[in-house]
Amino acid sequence: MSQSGMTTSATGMAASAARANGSAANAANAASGGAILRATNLHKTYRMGRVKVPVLRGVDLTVKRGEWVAILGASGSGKSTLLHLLGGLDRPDRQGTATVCGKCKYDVSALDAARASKRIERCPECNELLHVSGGAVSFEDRELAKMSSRELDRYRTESVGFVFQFYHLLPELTVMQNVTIASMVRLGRFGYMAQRSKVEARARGLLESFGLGHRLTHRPAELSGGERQRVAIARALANEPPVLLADEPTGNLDHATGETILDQIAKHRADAGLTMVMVTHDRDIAKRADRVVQLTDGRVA
Amino acid sequence: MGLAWSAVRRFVCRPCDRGGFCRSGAGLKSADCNLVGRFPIHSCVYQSLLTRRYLTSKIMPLLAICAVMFCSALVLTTWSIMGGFVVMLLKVGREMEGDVSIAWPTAGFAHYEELIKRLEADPMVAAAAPVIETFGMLVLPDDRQYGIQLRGIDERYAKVATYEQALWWKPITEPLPKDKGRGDIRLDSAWATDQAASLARDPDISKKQLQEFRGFEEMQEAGLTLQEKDPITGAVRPAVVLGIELSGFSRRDAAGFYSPADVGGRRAGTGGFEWMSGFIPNHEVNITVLPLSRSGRAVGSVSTRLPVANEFRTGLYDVDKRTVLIRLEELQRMLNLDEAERLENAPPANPYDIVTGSDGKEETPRAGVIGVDPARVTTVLIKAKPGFEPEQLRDRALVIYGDFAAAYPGEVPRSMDMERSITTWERQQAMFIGAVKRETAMVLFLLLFISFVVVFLILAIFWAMVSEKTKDIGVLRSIGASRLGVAWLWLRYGMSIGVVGAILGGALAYSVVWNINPIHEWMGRAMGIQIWDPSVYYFPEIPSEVVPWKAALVLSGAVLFSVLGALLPAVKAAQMDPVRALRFE
Repeated sequence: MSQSGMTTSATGMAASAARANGSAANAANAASGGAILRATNLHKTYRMGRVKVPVLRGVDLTVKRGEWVAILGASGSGKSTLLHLLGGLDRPDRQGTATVCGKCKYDVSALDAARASKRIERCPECNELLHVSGGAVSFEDRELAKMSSRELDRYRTESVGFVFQFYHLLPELTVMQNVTIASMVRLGRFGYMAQRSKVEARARGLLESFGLGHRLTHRPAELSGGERQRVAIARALANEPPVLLADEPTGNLDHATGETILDQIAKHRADAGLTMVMVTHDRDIAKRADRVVQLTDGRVA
Repeated sequence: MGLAWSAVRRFVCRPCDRGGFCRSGAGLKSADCNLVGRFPIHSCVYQSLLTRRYLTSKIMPLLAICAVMFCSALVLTTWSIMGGFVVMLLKVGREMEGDVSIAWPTAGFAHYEELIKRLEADPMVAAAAPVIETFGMLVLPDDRQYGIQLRGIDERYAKVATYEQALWWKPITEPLPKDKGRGDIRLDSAWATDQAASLARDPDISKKQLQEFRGFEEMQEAGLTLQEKDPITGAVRPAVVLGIELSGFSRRDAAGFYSPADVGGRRAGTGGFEWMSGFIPNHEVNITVLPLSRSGRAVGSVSTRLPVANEFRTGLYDVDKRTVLIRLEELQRMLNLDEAERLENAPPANPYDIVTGSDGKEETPRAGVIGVDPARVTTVLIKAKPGFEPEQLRDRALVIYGDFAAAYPGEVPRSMDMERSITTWERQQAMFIGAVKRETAMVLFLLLFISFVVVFLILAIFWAMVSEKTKDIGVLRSIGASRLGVAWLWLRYGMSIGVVGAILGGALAYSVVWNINPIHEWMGRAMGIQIWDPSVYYFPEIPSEVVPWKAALVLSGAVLFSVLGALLPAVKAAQMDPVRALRFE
């Protein structure tokens, strides 16, 4: 993974800088071959008591700048896990799971479920070590795994915006505060105090563009599902991140509301040149994307 | 505000790691990346915002605040009262006893005027006064009898003790701070004469009794000199001043003011009914003492009837209940401690002999006068000049007494015998004060131990709240809040509960301490609960003190306990896996 001459601390805000500075964006694009997010051989196994459940089994994914990628898959196929890994909320396994033996090409994945749930150290056929190095997620050619926890926090603050299926708004805060809280986290106390009016103007603008200008002082409990999701999207966009990660943003809404929200997201994506990775199990929604990636049993189909 | 802080705050531009100082308040624009730098994200507005919201939108933090409030108020009130007890004890003692006393009980010591002269010549000494301490018997106008502590004093006593302030019946123009209803009868200068005027129509009241009604000015003067002019004969005679709790004639109300009891009358010696004033300074009392020989044996009893000039109130119940002040010369006379002629040891063989004197007249033979025994007192009280501590003065008094004893060998106690008799009030009461201090420490330790419950209470509440807010924590982590930031959010929340609880607790404690006596009186009236017994606890009123450093210590402790309680939940919140938190149901 090339660092391409970029300073280690430059990744966090490089995309924002790109929008502000065309030459910087071009340089970044050139360095990464147009890919803003890259996932290579991602493995993720969850432990359910004493049983290990592999969720991702070697996923490769490249997302280009400005691209809308829909990740399609059934429940339990690892879509949300992949999104969490891309967003730096979770870390992939440090060591992957071999699917075939490198020496005799024996299909290890074909072993029965009980054996597959455990990490197989050697090939049952030729006794060759089945070592596979863990995968990685890179943002603008910088591996998230190599970032410190502080840098990872900064990555989540500045570079990606999350939209969840169940909105996840903070119930004690008003609509306005739910949106500005992302900027409060990003700017810190003094930064926020210095830029408060700017931040609030941005939040107000976003909420008005989502038709929530009259709901600024309302609490989430006073909003409909569609309105809550629009507040959640405004929060995700508040810090002007280059990447939007949406986990079934319309999964909890009726069709018409979902369509409206998707239209609004699409409009914002187009206006801001957002890169978007959207997880869905709805093929009709996935059709709106530039590219659809099918995830089946933890692998890209 | 942002400008002032930013002007001195150094920070680093995150994208390019370039350091600088913000002068505009808008943050640093790095030359390398042209992006606005920011401060570390641990101290954020979102923490203040969420702390405020959590504090005001939940019932559980209010319960935690109440717990902190009551615990801090409990500790502070207890400390204030028990600390006030010691402070009051020391204060009253010094006010009555001066800073140092030189005492030789019973027999007393002679040449005290010379000793006082030597003491007052010292730059450390403000004043010294002779005193006689003895026991006696008091017979009140209604024939009640009490064993009393009799103290003979003269005008100099007011220089070493706050005697003038202790005298109760005197004119006052301004009500005391706690006398909001102006219920203190001393404010009415014409009170005594009005009483006399209203009683003048009563045929049962004699002219003499009416003449005994004096104004507060006269009472004050009589109290200070311990002398009173007889209303009939005009002769000046010695008087006594009683401790205000002694006679029972002066009744204390809830606010701590005294007024004459409604005694009404008594059976007269002739068999009829005699009107009797409930105001003790209108009466005479009988005092009996037992003069003792130098070996401590009683040599008979002496009784005298003396008018009551005034009453005094030190605030120390035991003193106010048992002490009677009497003019020094009178007590010296009664105890045979006054100046006396010393006679020949061998009296004539036959006292009925008749001898012829030098002038040729016949006379009864008598022992020859061979000298004069000077007057004696049992105690000399000394007051230090400002800036000198009682212990310093005691050391100095030991030296002065040493010189004095050397000047009168065989006539006054030796200085080595006086080592323990030259002492301070604190030394006299050391055992008791030490016991009170130890008891205070023990009670505070127990209360501190009990207050530690707050830690677990807040821990339990916060643990439940962190579980309830798991999803919120996941959301905060997803928008970039650091682990430290999340931990600080909960610690700050705990601290806020501690601060609010401590402030309310401080206010509650202050209100209770300030009104402890009215509250106690009310409890007595409404519920029949009388916890404070003056005869047990020395003071007629519950003492208290408000010491800022003690309040600060207790309130800081309350905040610390709250933060301690929040610590474990904060760590739990910080260590929460954001993905699991977001999936939490």
